[in-house]
Amino acid sequence: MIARYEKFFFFLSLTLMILFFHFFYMSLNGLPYRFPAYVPVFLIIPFLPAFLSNPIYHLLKMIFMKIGHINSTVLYFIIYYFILTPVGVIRKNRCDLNFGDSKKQSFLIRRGKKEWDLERPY
Amino acid sequence: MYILGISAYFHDSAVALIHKGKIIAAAEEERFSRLKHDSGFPHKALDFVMEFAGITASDISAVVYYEKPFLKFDRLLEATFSIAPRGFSFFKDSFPTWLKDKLFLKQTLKKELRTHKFHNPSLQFSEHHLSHAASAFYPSPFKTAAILCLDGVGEWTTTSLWRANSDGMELIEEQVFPHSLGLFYSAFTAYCGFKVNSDEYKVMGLAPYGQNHYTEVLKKHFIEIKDDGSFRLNMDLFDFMKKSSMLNFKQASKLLGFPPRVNGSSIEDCYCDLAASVQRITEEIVLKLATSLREKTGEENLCLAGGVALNCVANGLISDSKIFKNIWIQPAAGDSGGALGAAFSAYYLKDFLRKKTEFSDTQNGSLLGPSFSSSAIKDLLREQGRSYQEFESQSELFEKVCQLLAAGHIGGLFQGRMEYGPRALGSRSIIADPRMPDGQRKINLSIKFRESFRPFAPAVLKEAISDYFEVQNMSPYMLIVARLKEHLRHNQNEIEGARGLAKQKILTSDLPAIIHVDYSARLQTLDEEIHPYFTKLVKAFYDKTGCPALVNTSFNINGEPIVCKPSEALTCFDKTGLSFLVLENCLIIKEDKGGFSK
Ligand SMILES: [Fe+2]
Repeated sequence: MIARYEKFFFFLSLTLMILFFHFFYMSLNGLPYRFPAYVPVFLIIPFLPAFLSNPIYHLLKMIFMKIGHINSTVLYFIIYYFILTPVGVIRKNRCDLNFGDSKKQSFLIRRGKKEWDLERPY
Repeated sequence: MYILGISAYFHDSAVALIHKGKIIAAAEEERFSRLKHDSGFPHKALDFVMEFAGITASDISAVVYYEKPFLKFDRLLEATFSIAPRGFSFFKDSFPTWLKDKLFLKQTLKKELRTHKFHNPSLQFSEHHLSHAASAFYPSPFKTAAILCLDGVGEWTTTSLWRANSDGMELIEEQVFPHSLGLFYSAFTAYCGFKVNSDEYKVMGLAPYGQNHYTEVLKKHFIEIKDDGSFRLNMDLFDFMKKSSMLNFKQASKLLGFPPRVNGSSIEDCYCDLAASVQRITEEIVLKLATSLREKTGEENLCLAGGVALNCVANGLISDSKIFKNIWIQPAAGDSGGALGAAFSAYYLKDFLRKKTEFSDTQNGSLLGPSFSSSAIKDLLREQGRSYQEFESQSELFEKVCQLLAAGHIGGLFQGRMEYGPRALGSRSIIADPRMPDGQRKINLSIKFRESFRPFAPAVLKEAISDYFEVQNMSPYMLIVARLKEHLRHNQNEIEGARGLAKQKILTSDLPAIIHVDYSARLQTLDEEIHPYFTKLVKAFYDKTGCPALVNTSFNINGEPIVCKPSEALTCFDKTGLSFLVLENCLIIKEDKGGFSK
């Protein structure tokens, strides 16, 4: 039965995963800054699709097992290229990788921070 | 009110205990576990500080971890996003450990603490650079100060500029990952064939043999520096975000014109030149940052911390430049010192602000580790069936030790509390007469078993320092380099004409064991108030010989942590060419060096 709809399930699960992630990150934009108390939740959200896609993962596993074999590398491959890469593309990243084309006078970021909250791990 | 600071899970785990703002004890885990740069939970160091203070877990009002794990996780993820789709293999290898180490760190810490009977500890989290800054300011003698922290990376921050007074600390400006001076230095440490996060000091030691031929190439392709000392790395060439290696060796070797050095192979001139260039760039950045920090804060006092603050050549330049009137550097400037800073930040900065009220150096000479009683040592010596001489008076012991030193013998000195931080300051030291013509080679090859190009540090009496060196600031923790006075230098023209390691063969001065080929020395200035025992010993040596200095290098073999217990000192003594060993008030001499009969 599965073998018959193999291709269909494969593309369906991939589409679902990508949609999941786009949705989460679109809606998340700016939220962690508005609700700092929930940052741990926000930090875990990127992994939700990985958890939620567990059934999908098993499905994929079945498919891959048919094709050949599956191991953790394949799982990380999926997380990396189908989840992290799209997120990397749609999000404005805090790592500034520009070099040599900068007209800036200084790379220092002004802070003026005086208060410290030691209770939180974030 | 006891506060416990912990740094762990990166490198150099450590524990520090403070009570009402005073340091009680602090130690690195590596000294107990005997694993160099041990990064595990500091179980043994924790046991030590609790036992030393004579307290139990219920006496501790807060346990403070030195950084914020979620922010670090956030940075790791963000770094992964920023370079995707490259860097898959790095992600695959590191992701499982990030999840475990960072996201569940609170649980892990609680679990580990439970094994020390902490049932429901008040667990707090400082920030990486806040810990560094607090560790530099609170033990310093200053009422107000500017603070400069430079290191590899903590959460996001790699460089931070602070203003501090007795009311608290303000982070003025910072630079964030991936642009890091520590990582820049480490990348070229790897290129020169040395170990990252461990052997950076070898690059610093190698630099005086070279000429800074590669500064321009580095500035053009690898690092961009602004007038205020801020900088940016070219992430097309640095690989630490996508691989576990630091630098794209293939591209770097194309730009530099020579391949990376294989560890253990001979050190060609080009690596000396590269080391010199990297060191020069580091100095330029540090000096520019110090200048702009002085302008921004108007402060006269400077505190330094973070791994880059262990670069004593750069510190020496800040000192010589007189940008700041006074400098104080945290001796445990690397991440082990984060434990101390974490405890201080919880004490001074949490909830209600406490005022700094102590305006003298409260680091206690950095002698914050364990000590061992003479009776315990005697028991051990008897148990091992060793012949030794016990001295009733310190002056008699010093007399004998000075006699041995003056006769050209190299010895181990084990007394008092162990040092906190990477430098031996006279409690766990190897000592020798600096006037020995082949001292450097002898200590390197027969005792330390290491590359012979690195110079040794001298411990010099404070009073005599200006007769020998050009100094602006005292350096009780061996963190500032100073230059030998012009009239004491030998063979200046020959050294200038020589290339690479050939310079080593030329005599620099009458104190060859401690003077580097650029006539610099990594000073420990001895002050009786800070290091009373060691100062008295050097005074005795001065009275006997007229030389106010001793070679002081850490009591260990290359690759091992500094000795902690008397038994380790004895093992090291047996394995090396040391002639004698001082264990508190007992003296052991090797039999072939005129040892005592049983
Ligand atoms: Fe650090």
